[in-house]
Amino acid sequence: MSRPPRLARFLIRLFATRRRNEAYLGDLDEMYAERASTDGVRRTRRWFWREALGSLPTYFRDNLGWRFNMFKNYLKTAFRALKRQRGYAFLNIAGLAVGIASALLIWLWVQDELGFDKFHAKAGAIFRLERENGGITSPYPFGPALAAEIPEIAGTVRVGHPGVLLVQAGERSFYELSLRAVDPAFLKMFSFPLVRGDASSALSHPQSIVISWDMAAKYFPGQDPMGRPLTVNKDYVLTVSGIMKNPPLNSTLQVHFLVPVDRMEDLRSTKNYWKNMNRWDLGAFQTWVELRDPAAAPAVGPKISALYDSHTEWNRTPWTLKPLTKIRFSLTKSSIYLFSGLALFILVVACINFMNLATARAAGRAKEVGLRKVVGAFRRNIAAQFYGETLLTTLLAVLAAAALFLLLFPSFQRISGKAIGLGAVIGWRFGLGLLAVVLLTCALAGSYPALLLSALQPVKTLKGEWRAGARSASFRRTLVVFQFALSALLLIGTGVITRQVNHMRMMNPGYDKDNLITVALRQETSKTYPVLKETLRGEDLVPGVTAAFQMPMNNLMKETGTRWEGIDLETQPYVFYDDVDYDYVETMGIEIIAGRSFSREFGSDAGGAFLVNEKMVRQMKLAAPAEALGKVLSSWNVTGPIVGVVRDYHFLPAANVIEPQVISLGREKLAYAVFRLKGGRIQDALSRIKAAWTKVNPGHPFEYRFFDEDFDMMYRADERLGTMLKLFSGMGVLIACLGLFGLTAFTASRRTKEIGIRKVLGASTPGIAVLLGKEFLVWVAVANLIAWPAAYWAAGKWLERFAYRPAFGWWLFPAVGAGTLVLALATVGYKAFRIALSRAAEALRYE
Amino acid sequence: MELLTKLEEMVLIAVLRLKDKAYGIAVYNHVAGLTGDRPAVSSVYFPLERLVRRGFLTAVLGDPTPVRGGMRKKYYALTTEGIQALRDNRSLTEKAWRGLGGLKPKPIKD
Repeated sequence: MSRPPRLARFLIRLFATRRRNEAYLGDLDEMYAERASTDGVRRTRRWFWREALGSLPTYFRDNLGWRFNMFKNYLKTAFRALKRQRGYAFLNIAGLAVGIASALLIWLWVQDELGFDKFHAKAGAIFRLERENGGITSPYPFGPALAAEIPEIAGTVRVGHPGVLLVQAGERSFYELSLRAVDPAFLKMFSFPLVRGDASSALSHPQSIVISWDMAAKYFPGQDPMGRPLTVNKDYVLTVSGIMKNPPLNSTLQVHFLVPVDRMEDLRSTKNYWKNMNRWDLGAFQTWVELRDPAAAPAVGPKISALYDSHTEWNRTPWTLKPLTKIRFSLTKSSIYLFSGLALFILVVACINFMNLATARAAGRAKEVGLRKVVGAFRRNIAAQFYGETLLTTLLAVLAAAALFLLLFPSFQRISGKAIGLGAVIGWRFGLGLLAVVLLTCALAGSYPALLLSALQPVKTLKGEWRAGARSASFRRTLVVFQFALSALLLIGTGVITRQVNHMRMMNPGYDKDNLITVALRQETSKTYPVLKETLRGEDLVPGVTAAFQMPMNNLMKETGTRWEGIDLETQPYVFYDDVDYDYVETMGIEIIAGRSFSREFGSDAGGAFLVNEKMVRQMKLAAPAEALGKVLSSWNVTGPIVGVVRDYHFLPAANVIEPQVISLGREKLAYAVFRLKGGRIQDALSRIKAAWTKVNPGHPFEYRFFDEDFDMMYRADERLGTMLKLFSGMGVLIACLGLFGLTAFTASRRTKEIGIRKVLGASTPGIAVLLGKEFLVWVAVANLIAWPAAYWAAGKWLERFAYRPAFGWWLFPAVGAGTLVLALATVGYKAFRIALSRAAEALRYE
Repeated sequence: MELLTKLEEMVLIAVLRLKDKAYGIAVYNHVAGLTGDRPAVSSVYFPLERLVRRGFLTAVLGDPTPVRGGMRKKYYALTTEGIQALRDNRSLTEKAWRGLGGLKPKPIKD
């Protein structure tokens, strides 16, 4: 026997409310059965559907009219409730608004981080060739060999970074860092679309250069750059053959000029050194690999290593493929987790608060519920009313949050150091997220009053027998404990991070970073550097002039090519390498603990000499620094004795362990001139150096940087993290306090009569304040005890990545404990005292 | 006196005729048989419920039967007011028609 269509039946059930009696449905079913036997099933089904749809218009006419009237009533009641308890309502809405706004800001930040490099059409299939130890440079011939010999690889692109270059177009000339020498396939692998020119041929001519939109405007304002000449490093005249869109802000590759890859040989600032690019034992390029099947990456890695080893024995560290989309993530992973957690924390605390206060506010409305039931409301009507009211307050909070968000957004961008485009992030996912937050908050905050109050028996509430709060006390206590535990956790976390950042900034780096300036040397100015040094010799204002290949904090030259007697090649020992001029150690203020510094008095130094640090001595398996003296090192085509040992200094950012370092005396690769200025006479010293510079290097601008500013820059990221954390934990604590304030007020108002009676019987004002407040204080203390172990664990995890840490700040725990207690005391105390001070007669007249 | 619409009148007559078997479908079938139309089933419920509200009909739920999947039938019966209203409306109709004879159509002359 056939049955009526289920969906149609469901519709009838849903919409035919006025006749929601079983008789109607039963009649239809009976009729269905009857018709089905005479008219056939198909016609009957159609008939049944007509019946179902036919009931819709009446439904809308009859039902919605009534619903609209009831809705108006609910709305009115809701606004009256808000108005009557204006203070609570404000706390309620403000707390949630602050929470949502904070969470939104963090969410934007996280989205921006996670979206890095995803805009490339082939993002999922692009990998960077890396060493297993994290090195990212590979030899010039490697890429083409890979593409030719490994079938899984669809294509490779080499990207060379020639360093700082002087770029000129007519009158306009600037130093540029964003020029890359790339294979022509670059424009096909990466999605940097060309606005002008043809992607397949733009880089095929050796004289071609592709520039970004920004650079087109910078060098050729108001003109069409296509086909115009652009001079690089004075010697090379290139022709603009394409204009590409600016790389988006969330791109790891920030490139504004592209030239064909073989130009690298000409453009490299330390030219002599890279005479033969085609060597396998020289890593100067990044190689990007596109796989046919991204899933094959782990299997391709060993093949790449095998191919490499068949060409050279130079460095046997295995190669791996790192996905493009993971490059940024691997750098900011911990911050992403931290802030996602934080956003969740804040949102949860705000929701709890909201829920708490909403519950408290609703509890006073038992009588209203009773009366509604008496005049005919069903339980579901009451529930719908409370859910609706919660939705209303939530929406108000969302509006307030949106306003707050727009207000905070500019300063947030500044603090986070990001130029987040709102449009790029706010899409359907954002809307969905917001909707989820609203609905979840509603469900959580609305359920308590909706389910509990709607179940009340009208008689009891109207007689006044039901009293709010008796059953929810332990629940509410749990909530207070939870949010204060979270707040304490945040505060301790903030303290730990701030301490660590300060520690790194204040730590003695092992040299004197103050009153030091650096000037980047370009191709020509590096040639005149010896003259400049000679000019300033003996100058009182400038006690030290030297030069180096790399400055501390920015030492990236990690290599495995250095050899010494007794080296154990199996362990692949690596060293950090630097090239410096005479007087480097003296100018920087690095301490020599054995031997001597480089010196002109020893003519042999010029032919090859090294300084090493203590770590290097240990790596050479020598017992004492003095033993290293005279041992012969060979590194980068230089062979010579170790003439001195320096005390370990921080040439890497202070988060890292000090690694073995080899410093060679060389004059070819000097990239920075370093000047020590006389303390207290900085300006005079600067003008003296400038005068000398202008005389020696006419036409070259004197662009200097204070080293201590660069030094601080290294900690900018951690500092930003600290600032953001401070901001948001402040918000979290604020929200928790708002919640506590509301709760105290609520408890107090419930106990007005009790307080009145106590006062009449002679209780003192402080006594009553203590009576009201002590409960919360106990719970705040409990919250702290819960938070401490969690905070200890989390802080330990975070601190792991820092090699040098301050002594663990145990005092943070009691300090945060005391702090939260004081805050809680202030919050509770204020309200408690006001209640306690009120006149007993008034208290007793309540009702 | 209380005026009835034609549909209400038909429904009341149907309930009168069906005696103790007057439930939704039976009434619907009766009315549909008179007019020859088969409108939506729900269209008969509106007059039925309106008549209950106006006090011309009473409704009683019957016992559940397995035929309708356990759904009970709702039986309708005329109240004295209902019978009175039917009577009034009938005499009203007759009064209104009086003297019009067989209502023979007269052709219209040009």
